[in-house]
Amino acid sequence: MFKSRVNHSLLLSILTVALTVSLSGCGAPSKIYAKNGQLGVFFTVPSGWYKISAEDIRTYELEGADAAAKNKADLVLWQEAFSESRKTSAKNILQLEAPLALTAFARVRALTLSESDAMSYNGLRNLILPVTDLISGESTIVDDFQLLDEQEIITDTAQGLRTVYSFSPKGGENETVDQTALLSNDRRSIYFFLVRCTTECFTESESAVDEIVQSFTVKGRK
Amino acid sequence: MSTTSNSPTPAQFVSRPRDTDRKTRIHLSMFDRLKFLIAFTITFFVLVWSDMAGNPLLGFNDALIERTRSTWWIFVLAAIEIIRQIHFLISEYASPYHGFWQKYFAFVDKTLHRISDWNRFRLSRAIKWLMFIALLAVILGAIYDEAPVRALFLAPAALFAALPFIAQLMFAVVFILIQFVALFWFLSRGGIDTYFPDDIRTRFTDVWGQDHVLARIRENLMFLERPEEIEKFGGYVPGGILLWGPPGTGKTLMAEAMAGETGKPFVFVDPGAFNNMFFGIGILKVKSLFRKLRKLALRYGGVVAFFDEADALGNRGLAPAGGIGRYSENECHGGNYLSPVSANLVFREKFMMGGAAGGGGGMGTLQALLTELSGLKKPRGFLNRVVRRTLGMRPKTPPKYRILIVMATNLPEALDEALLRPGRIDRMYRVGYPSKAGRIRTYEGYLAKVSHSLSPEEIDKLATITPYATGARIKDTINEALIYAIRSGRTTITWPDVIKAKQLKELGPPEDVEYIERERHAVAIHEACHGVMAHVVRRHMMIDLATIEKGSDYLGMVASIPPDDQFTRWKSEYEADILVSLASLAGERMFFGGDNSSGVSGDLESATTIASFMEGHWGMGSTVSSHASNKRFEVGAPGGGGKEKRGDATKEMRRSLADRIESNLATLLNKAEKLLKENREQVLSLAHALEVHKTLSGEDVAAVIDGVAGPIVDGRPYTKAKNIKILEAYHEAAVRAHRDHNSPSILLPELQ
Repeated sequence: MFKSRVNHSLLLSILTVALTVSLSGCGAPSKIYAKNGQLGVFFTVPSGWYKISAEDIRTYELEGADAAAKNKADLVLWQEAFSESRKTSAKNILQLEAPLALTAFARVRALTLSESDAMSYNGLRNLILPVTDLISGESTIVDDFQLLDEQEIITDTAQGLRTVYSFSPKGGENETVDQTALLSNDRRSIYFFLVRCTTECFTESESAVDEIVQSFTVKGRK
Repeated sequence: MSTTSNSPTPAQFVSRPRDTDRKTRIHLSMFDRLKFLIAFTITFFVLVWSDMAGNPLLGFNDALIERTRSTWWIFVLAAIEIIRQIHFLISEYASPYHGFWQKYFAFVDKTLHRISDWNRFRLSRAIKWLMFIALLAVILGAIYDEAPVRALFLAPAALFAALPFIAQLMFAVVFILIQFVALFWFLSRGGIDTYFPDDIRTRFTDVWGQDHVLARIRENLMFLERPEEIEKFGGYVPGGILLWGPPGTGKTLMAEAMAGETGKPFVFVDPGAFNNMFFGIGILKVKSLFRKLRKLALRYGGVVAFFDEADALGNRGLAPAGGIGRYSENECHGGNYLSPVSANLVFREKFMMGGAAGGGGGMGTLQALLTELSGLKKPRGFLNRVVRRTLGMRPKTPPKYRILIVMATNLPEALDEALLRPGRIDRMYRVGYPSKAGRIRTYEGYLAKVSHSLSPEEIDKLATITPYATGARIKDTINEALIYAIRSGRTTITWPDVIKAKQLKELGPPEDVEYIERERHAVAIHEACHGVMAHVVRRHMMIDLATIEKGSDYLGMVASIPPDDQFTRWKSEYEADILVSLASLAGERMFFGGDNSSGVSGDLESATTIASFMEGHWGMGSTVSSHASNKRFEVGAPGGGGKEKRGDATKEMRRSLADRIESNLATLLNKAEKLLKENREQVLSLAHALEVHKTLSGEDVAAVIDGVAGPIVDGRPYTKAKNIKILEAYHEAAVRAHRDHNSPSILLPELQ
C-alpha cells in the first residue's frame, strides 16, 4: 500500500499547486504593464492607475486638425497613456497645461525621410517645447523655464536624452516634465515617454516618477 | 514459544469480476487521475513563461496573476476535471453511489436508444459538425481578435488571400510529381507496335502446311471483320486464340499473315514488353496497351493483338486448364474420358513433378492482363463514370470492343491456367509439325523461289525423308542446298545438293578423320549390324542413310526415318527398335569372337530405356500398372520379393521391374544374335560397302542387302559366293589384326 500512499501525496501536492495558482489569481498584480511587443516598448505604472485609451488621444489630436497634422498623426505607431486620476482625459495628456494628477504617456512614432535626416539630440530634446531655445533665452514661449536635469541614454537599439525641466505655461500652474526621447538606431522611429504633473505633485511623488521612468524599456522592433 | 511455519500458499489465478458484477468503479491508475490536471498545469505555466519572455518588466508573480486573469477558463476546466476525479474516487469506494450512477446511465442510454439508430447517427453527426464549427470559430476568433462568428466569415477571405501561396505550394508539389509521372510514362512506352492494313504484306497464302489451323484463324478473322455474322444469332466474337506448338512451325508467320490479311489494325506485343525494372510499370503497360486496343477497336471496328512468346507472361504456379494430355505429343488423350476432378488430380501430380511455375513480367502484370482481358465490359472514363453519376445519370453501357487476342507459345505449360479459360482465350490451336502434304507444299513454296531441277517425285521423297521438318527447317535446308550448288559453280539446285544439305543439317559436318583399317572394319561391322537388322526386322522405319564417317559425337550411324506420318507406336515396333539397338552388341560379339567395344553404350542405353518404358509405362510387359504412377506415389513396382522359387509363372511375372527389363533385353539379344547369324553374309557385304563408300543412302543400303542395283552402289556382286569368300577372308584378317593390334594382312578387297 506504500505505493498508493505515495500516489495520494502526489495527488495532494498537485492539488496544492493548483490551489495556490488559483488563489494567487485572486490577488491583484502589483503594477500595470503596458507594452507593445511588436515595437518592443514596455513600461509600468503603479496598479490602480487609469488608462486613457489611445483612440481617445487620437480623436482629440485630430479635432479640427488640418491635413498636414492628420498626416503626422498617422505616423504614430503606438501610444498609451495612464494617469493616477480617473479625471485625466486625452485633452490633459496633449495640452500644455499641467494635468492635476501624475500622468505617463508613451508614444512610438515613425519618422519621415526628411525628419529622419534632420533628427538630432536637439531635435529629440525639442519635441514638445523648444527646450534648447528656452535655455538660451531665445524663446519665451513659456515662463519660468528651468532645466532640472539632462542625461544621455544609450540602449542596444536606440539612443537619446532624458530631460527633466519645469515651466509655467502662459497663465498656468508651474509644472515639471520628465521627458525621455530616443531615436532608434535605424533612425526610422522615435520612442517618446513623458511623465508630468504640477511641480507640486511631481515633487511629492518623485520616487514613483523615477520608478515609472526607469521602467520605460525599448527593445526595438522584432 | 512455539512457531508454526506457514507454508506459502501457491499463487492462483483469480478471474477478474465481470463489469456487471462489480459493485464499485474499477480503480483508475494514478496517471489517468492526474493526466488532465498535469496537462492544464503545464499549459498554464508555459503561458506564464511566454508572458515573461515577452515582457522584460514582468515579474513571475505579476505574470502569474495576469495570466490567471486572462486564461481563467483553464481553471474552470481544471475544476471540472477535479470534480470528475472526485466523482470517480467516490465511485471507486462507495458502492451505493456507484450503483446510483450506473442506474442513471442505464436510464440515459435507454432514453437515447428510443431514437432510432439512423436518427441518432444523424444527430451525432450534426452535433459533431456544430462542435467542430464552434471550435473553429473560437480558434479563428482568437487568431483574428474578433468575435468568433465574425471570424468565421473572415477565414474564407484569408484563404483567398493565401491562394497565390497555395498555388506556389501546389506548383512545388506538381513539380516533384511530374518528374515521377514523366519517368513512369516514358518507362511504360515501348514493346508495342501497331500496324495498319497493308503495312505488312505477308498473306495466308504464304503460310504452308498448316491449313487446318489457318482455316480456323480465317474463321476468327471473318468474325472480327463481320461480327454481325455471329452476333445477329446471339453469339459473340471469340476473343482469344492460342497458337502453340514446337518452335519453327510458323506461329509468328501466321500472326504476320493475319496482320497482312485483316482490314483491322494489328498490334504486336513484344515478349519483353512486360519485363520491367520498377514494380508497377508492367501493370501500367498492360493498362495502356488495353486503353490503346479499346481506342483502336472503337475507331476501326476491331483490332487484333498478338502476344508473341506468350510464356513470357508467366504464370502463378497453377496447372493450365484442360488437364492431362492436352499438350502431350502422341498418346491417347488420357484426360478426355476422365471426370474433370480425376483429370485434374492426374495432371496436377504430373505438373508438380515438372514444377514449371513462375517467371513472367513481374508481380501484378499477369493479374492486370487477366483483369483487362475479361474486364472489357465495364463502363469506363471519368466523364462517363463520375460526371454522369454526379448529374444523376447512369453510366453509358460500354460499346462492344471487338478485340481479338492472339497468343503464340511453344511452352503452353508455362501459361497461367486463368489465362486460358474460355472468355479470355477461347480457342487453342496446336501448330504442329507440318503433315507430309504440308511439307511438300512448303518445299514447293521455297523451291519456287530458287532455280532447281527436282522432279515432283523427288520433292515427295524429300518430304518423306524429312518427317519433322518445320517451315523454318525446310527454308534453311533449301538455302543450304543453294549454297552447295553455288559452291559447285551452279545456280540450279539438284537432288544431291538437297540430300547433302539435309545431311549437314541433321548430322552436322563430318570430321575429316581417317580410321586405321582394323578400326574402320570394326565400325563398319557395327553399323552394318544395325543396318541389316533394321532392314530385316524394322518395317515402321526406313533407313535414311548409313555412314562410318566420324561426326562430332558419333563414330558412324544408321539413321532411319518413318516412311509415313504415323502417330501410334506398337509393341512389335518397339521390339524391332530394341533389336536394331542390340544388333551392334550381338554383332560385335559374334564377329569378334566374344569381344565388344564400348561403342555399344549408346545403343544399350536406348535399348534399356525403351525396354523400361515398355515394361513400366506402355503396358508392353508382363504387368499392367504404370511405373510413372507407382513412382509418384512411391508404392514401388509390382513384385520384387525375390525369394520365390523359379517356375511359378505368376510369381515369375512379379519379379522386380529391373529384373524383368533385363530378362526382356536378354531374350531380345539372343534373338538379335540368331537373326545376325542368319544374315552373316549381308552384314559382311554391307560392312564392305560402307568401308568402300563411307556413306550410303537408304536405297543403296537396301540394294546391297538385297543384292540388287541401287542408285549409286550396285549390290549384285554381293550375291556371288566367291565374293563372300573374299569378304570372309578379309574379315578374318581384320579380326586377327584387331587381336594383335597391327594392320590386317589383306587390303580392302575390290569386288567384281
